[in-house]
Amino acid sequence: MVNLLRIYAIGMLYAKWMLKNKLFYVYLTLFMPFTILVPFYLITSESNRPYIAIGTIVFTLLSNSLVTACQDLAVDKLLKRIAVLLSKPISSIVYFLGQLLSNALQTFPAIIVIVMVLNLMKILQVNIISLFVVGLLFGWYISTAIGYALAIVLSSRDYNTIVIISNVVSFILVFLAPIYYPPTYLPKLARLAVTILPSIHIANIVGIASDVNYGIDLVQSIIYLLILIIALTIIITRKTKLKDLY
Amino acid sequence: MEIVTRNLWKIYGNGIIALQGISFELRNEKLVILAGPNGAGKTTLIRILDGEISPSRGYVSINNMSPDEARLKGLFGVMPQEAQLHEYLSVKEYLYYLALIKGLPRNDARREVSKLIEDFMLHEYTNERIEHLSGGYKKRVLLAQAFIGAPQLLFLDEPTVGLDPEMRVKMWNIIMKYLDEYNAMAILVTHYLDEVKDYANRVLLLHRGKLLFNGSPRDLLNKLGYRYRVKIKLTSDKALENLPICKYITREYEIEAFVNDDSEFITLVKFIEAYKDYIAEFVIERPSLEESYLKVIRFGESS
Repeated sequence: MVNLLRIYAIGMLYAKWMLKNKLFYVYLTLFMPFTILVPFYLITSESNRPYIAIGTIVFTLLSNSLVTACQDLAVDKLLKRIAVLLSKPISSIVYFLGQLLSNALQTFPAIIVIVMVLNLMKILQVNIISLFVVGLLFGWYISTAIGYALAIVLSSRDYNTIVIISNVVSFILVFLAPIYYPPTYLPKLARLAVTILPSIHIANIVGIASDVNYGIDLVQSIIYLLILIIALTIIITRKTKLKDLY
Repeated sequence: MEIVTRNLWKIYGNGIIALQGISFELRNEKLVILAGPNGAGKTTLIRILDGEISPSRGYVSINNMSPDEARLKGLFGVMPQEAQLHEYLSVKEYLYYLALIKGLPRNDARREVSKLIEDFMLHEYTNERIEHLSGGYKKRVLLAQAFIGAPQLLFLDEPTVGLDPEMRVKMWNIIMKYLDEYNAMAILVTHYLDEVKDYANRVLLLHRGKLLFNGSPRDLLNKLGYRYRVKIKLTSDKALENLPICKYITREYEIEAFVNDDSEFITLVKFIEAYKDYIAEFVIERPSLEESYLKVIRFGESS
């Protein structure tokens, strides 16, 4: 119970920044995804438009969660706010779960709005809601975990470097994987290579739930993401310490 | 409460040596002053003791636990130097979330926040965003959060810098009242040595990463070699021949005498009485802890 309250408090501590800066929240969660969605939508053939929809959802989910998780710690380090948190009895996993909650509060409302808009525009039809939610939850957990682990690994670096690297990683995950278009557009070898990126598997699960085909077996994607989740959780629990951060 | 450090070293990645073989033991002290010039290693030492960073070498234990274990048991309250707050939150929200993070149940957390707001005189700004507060009020919020959950060991890094004199006195009173009430211990980094000398029972003096002095404030004062300084302005040098003390300096008709014991002091007072016709004015001063501090630092620099 104590740890649940701690997770709640850490989540709120971070989420409140975004929730209190409503204009920035609207920009990051709605304006930015739609500025990518609209031109992609206009230049894409009708048959490929559902890929644009899935791409926008995965982009919003991954980019927001990864960058936010990484930069929350970097900002706290920069402003030395982290020193106050580190003096309290919180472990690495509790801190991470707090960030996970914060990311959920910041990202999921935007995802819901995006899905509703896409649905109204008849670009996307979610057929298996439970599978769609599972895909989103996988994406949320994995991107937050990568962002957090990145922040710990880069803890000796300055704030600007961390911001740049987290953005580069998030863009690699989103734009290197064929999530905005059918993977069949890629050469066979490249198609095989990009299956190492979790984003394509997240898009695959969300896509299968919405009748969008990425050509990867559902079970394969689920197993891959589950292994990744377990590995990241072990790293965060065992290998990362909230210590020597600056 | 017991803190033990042995041969503690900290060398940062950029090669800066912050601590060089610091060893000390603190047992059941109440208020320990950690003093030293800028860059002496005070903040680094605090950050090692509160488990924020690891030493490069050496041993440190808090109640026979590592700092990490002690931190996870909630033993610490820390007010870091120059740390910013989560300024987009209100005072109440900030303290409430930190109380939950400290491990307090919700109702206890609410009660604790009300008490802290009362104690630190923040009631006018309870629901105000921290970013709208003045520097002094922000400092009070930062100090208040260190007391959440009745920690047994407080690390306070320059807690009264930026506060007006009246507020500084109030803050010292709050800190001392807390230490008495909870039988807690505080390690305090401050440059206002004389403000806290009456409360402190131990002074650790760091200079260039080395521990130059470890003792009571009285021991530190004794380093000066005198307890009273008497300045006498003479109208004639006639009295000078009969000055009953040997440790003094003169500048024309001015004497600055350094008195170490009470009998010598009484003799000097009698001398002033006897030669009052030749004395224009005199001033008796108690040397400050800061003077002793400077002497030890200068000695450290020269050696």
